[in-house]
Amino acid sequence: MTVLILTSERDLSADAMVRELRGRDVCVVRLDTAWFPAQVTIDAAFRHGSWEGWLTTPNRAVELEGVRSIWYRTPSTFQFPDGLSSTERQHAHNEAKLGLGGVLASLPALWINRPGNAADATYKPVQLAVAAQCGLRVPETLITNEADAVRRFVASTGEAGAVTKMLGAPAIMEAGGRRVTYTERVHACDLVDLRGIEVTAHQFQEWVGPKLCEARMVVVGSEVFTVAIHAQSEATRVDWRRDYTSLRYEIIEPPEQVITGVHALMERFGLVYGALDFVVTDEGWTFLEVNPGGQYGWLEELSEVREHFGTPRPITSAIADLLVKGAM
Amino acid sequence: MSVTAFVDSPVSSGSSRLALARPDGYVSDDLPSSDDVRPWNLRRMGSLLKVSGRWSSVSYDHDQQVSVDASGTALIDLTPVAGPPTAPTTQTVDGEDPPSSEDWINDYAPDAPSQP
Repeated sequence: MTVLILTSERDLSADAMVRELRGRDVCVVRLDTAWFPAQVTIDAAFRHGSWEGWLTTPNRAVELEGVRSIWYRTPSTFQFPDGLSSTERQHAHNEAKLGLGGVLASLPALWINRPGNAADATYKPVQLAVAAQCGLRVPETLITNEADAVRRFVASTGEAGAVTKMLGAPAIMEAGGRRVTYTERVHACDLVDLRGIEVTAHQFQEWVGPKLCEARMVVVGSEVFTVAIHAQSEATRVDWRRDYTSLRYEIIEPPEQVITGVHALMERFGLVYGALDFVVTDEGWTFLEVNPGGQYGWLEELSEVREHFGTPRPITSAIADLLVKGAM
Repeated sequence: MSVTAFVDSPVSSGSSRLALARPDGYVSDDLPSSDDVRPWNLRRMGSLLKVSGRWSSVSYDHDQQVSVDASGTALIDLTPVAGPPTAPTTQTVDGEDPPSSEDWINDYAPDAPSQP
């Protein structure tokens, strides 16, 4: 039986997983979809009610019937030969996605996470709605492309104020480089010039505070790893990603009703793995978001985490347990 | 409904999707539009960060199935591997959330053909 890892070549958490699984004498094959079609081939036939055949990488071959589980990290987009027109490239991409992706999706294997479920869960407005339905506290939120709606919402938050954050990736590539953004407070001066609001959807949320801390919760099946993140600077109190060096971490135990709500949310989305962010205040835990592919590598390298769980890579180990088992 | 309709649908179930990340080393030469049309949240973005980092000397070892440095040493044998992440630029750290990590932007947005 094989554990298949779908990810890019540059993924150190996947490197660690390869080591972990090999240490358990588990057959593991790592594949980046960017290798298709130049370095990866598929030979799959539908016979007797299921797909059988082979997936071949530069150094290995995977028997489709033998795939026990698939860890879906961040495989890169297919790389097609130079010389294709954009129409031909689009065609090749769609066919590869539906063909290769379709065969993989059909396999009776455990996915962490199943791509469709992960994609559904990336819609933050859906996350908030589902989280609330699961009993989690969520912040008041506005999605709009109307400037007046922004002003109205910010005014409604009173002294607490509001923040703005992206609905999707907090980074873009342009001008030969990369620009990033963080969650930011919205002040009155920000409302003077709202040009561009009308161009697309924007997200605003009430400021949840005063913060005792924030928490990153990593869920792996039934296991929950939660780390409190204490901001030590003004900038990181708004968004702790601004300066990792100024953060202090500690293991924290979430309230039972939060755990219950999180497991319900994970079940609703069909997620086996998720990284969730919370704000902790005197009033309780407020859900911010769930990332079906959220990072955990830097957390499990923390001495606080290693010592608490008594193992070098507790989250890698927990994910490996599920991949080896091939079931929840 | 066409089986490929979800590709272009602005609102559709992701149940048929196999989201893929943008190509490694992707660079865009697009320039910012004027403030009159640039989305408001992009207007508030920080200054431009140049893509650089230790990955230039890193390659993928198909036998070991891990990344290795120029000497052939697996990166995970170097310490620290993931953290605490400090670099504000791209492709210098792994294991943390975006925006400082380029490795796992799990936004599913670059779900498009690779560029030649």
